[in-house]
Amino acid sequence: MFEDLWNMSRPPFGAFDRMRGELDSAFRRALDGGDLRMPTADAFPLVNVGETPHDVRIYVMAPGLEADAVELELQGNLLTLHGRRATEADDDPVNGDRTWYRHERFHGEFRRSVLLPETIDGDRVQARARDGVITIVIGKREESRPRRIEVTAA
Amino acid sequence: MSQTQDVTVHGTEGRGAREAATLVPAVDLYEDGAGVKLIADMPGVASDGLSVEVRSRELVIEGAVGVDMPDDMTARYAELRGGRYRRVFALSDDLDPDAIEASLKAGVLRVALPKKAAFQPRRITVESG
Repeated sequence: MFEDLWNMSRPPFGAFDRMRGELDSAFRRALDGGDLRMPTADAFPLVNVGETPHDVRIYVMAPGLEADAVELELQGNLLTLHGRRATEADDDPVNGDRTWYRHERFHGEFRRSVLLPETIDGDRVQARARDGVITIVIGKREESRPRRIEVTAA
Repeated sequence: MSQTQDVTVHGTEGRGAREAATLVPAVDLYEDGAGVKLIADMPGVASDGLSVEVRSRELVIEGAVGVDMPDDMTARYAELRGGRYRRVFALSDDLDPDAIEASLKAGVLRVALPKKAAFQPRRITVESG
């Protein structure tokens, strides 16, 4: 990668751009190295997954979405989230021409899947929406739960 | 940025590390005849954790993430890492900070900054003669 910097036949700014491009793709390759369903930084909604000894908890960051706006589907240990977020700006009556300065929020239809640990029991799912976060709690299968093993003195 | 990592969150230690990270909320920001409208995504923030402040020429929005997480939970996969949102915007003189209006619903903050009366657009009639 660094040898390319010495190639002065291209304009200097081009060399920096190429180095940045190479760093970007190396970085992206590291991120894509995981599960192919892992999203890029601009995915919506963002998801956190945690695990306790008894259940798996999924936190879905879905601001602006009420409980009925997201469809949750569980197939084995694959959780799929599906829904649509409309542009809230559409609700605002337009006063003259509108100038946009930032348009960073996600709008439109989304669908993403998250692979969960295989220890989950699909029959024990609970989901709750609050303050734009949907918390999904899935109990673990009985045999996956930690169990104490008695050690007897011989 | 997404990573898979086994991080054990124990009591205050993990919570402290989580709260130290500040997140930049995604915003929609536009202006029309009435003034500036800001819409910010702050999932997990309730009204008791929200702060909208106007300082001289600056609008500061802050929110604390209040999602309950059990103490014995291990993080398996975290795309959102951080305990609070914060973003600062420069305000121009034509906006009236006393007339600011803010509302929070389902983790979305909406702020309306009307223009001072003197700066509202006025149609100028052109007389022909």
